[in-house]
Amino acid sequence: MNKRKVKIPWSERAYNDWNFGMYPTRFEQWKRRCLIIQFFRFIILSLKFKKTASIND
Amino acid sequence: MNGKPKIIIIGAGISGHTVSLNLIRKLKRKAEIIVISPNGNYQWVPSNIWIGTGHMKAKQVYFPLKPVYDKLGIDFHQAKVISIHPEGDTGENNPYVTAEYVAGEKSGQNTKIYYDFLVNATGPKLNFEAVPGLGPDAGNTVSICTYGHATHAYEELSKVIEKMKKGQRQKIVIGLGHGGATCQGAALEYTLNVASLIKKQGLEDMADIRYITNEMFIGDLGMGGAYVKNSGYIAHTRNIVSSLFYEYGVKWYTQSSVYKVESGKIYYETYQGEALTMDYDFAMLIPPFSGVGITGVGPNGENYTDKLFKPNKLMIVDANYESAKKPYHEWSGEDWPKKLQNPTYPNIFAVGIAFAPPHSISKPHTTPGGRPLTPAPPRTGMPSAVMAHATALNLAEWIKTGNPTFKHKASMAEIASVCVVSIGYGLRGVAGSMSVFPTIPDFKKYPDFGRDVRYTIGEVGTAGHWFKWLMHYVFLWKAKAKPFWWMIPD
Repeated sequence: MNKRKVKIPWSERAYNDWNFGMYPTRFEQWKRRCLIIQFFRFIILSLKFKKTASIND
Repeated sequence: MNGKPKIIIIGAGISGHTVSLNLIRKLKRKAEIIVISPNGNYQWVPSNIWIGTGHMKAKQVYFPLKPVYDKLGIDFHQAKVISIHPEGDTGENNPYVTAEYVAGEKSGQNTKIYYDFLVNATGPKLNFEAVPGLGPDAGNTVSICTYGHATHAYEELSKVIEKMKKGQRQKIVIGLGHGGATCQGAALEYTLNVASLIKKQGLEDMADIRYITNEMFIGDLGMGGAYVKNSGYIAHTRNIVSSLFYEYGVKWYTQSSVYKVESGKIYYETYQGEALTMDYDFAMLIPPFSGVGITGVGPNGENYTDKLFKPNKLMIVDANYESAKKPYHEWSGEDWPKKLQNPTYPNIFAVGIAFAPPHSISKPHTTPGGRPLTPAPPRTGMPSAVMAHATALNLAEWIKTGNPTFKHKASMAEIASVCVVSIGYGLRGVAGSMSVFPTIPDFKKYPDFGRDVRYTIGEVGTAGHWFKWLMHYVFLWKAKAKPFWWMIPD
């Protein structure tokens, strides 16, 4: 049996869930945790945050 | 001013400590820097999340301030400020504060300390009393607002985890304990950390995890939400936060104004006016914040509190408080204080949570029963440090040149903020990272999304978690004023 991705059962979501958000695919979840990809993201993110923080100087 | 100017900083948290470190660096021995704080320790509050999930011990997030201040030549008084006398006593026109020592040999004694400039950086009073039954003292819900509270939160969380291990399904509720509370980011981060901890232990089917909030929609975060650049889209934070909640199996209850807590039961009213209850086995609810309750006193003992403070006990600064009467779509960055200076007494400033904002950032609402559904503006973390740094530089230049130029931007409408919501711990944690500019959305300047999307970004991944992990060590290094601390951004 496939393990459920969305933990909240449909019977609960059917009548009150209007927040149609995003659910990460298996590839996206892997990408988020892949140490090599994330190492490069870390460098990019640090540079982006530095650029943003430099507005405050 | 006779001799060296005296600058009093009330508070030694993120904002107060930033002011004192930057003032002493810029002014060296040209001014006398005096810090008054009832807490003898500095705490790096963002890491309280990891104490609340047992990943860190309290002693890892705090250190004693006295040795740092002694090294820097800052005069530290571990005391609680009671009153500000902005005009001094009759005939002397020499402003001062009164304070009561809370530790050491002088504990319980009152003192009178004169100043030329005063910076109010008290941080908030955790106003648990606003909601009957709320908070650790009432014995019902827990909090993660201080390292002591977070330690207690983990003790209580451990008990419910033990029950889950024994096969008992547990109800966990985390969120905002009042319709006007702020710090949605911290509540959200704790929710996801608790969910991650439970998932890691294979107990996810034994827990019913709920997030209850005063936000009108998930991802509002007390700042009206944000459109952030994300994977080729300009996506709303609502999408990102709801996707994280879906992923970790968290149910969310928005538009909920909590008004009473009992053992095992939370009472709340919804925007539609339904009076509902939510059962819990473990609940962490953030309290509303207020000012700490310092009074203002005139030269003849008159009550000057209303010249210095708003009724919520937060300090009056150069904000446009009349703007709150305008329709929501006309609110703009111009309403927010630029100098953080008291209009009646120009030598008094307030930074961080201590200043009274002109209005909320999120659209204000009330329930049919008249209860608030208006998250207060978040002024913790990076915005408070940036405001504090700018205020210190402005003040230092004023003292050095004799002219108040206010060259450095202290308005939340002109500064950028970075926020990292970390999930899990160690090398393999994940985080939602976000930067926004300006912190206060301005639809006049940026009519599409309210913010500059070149600087307003969001992404989920381990990289952000490493960033937050690194921040813990880097910012404690900075707070301890170790070599090259001043090179580290706010």
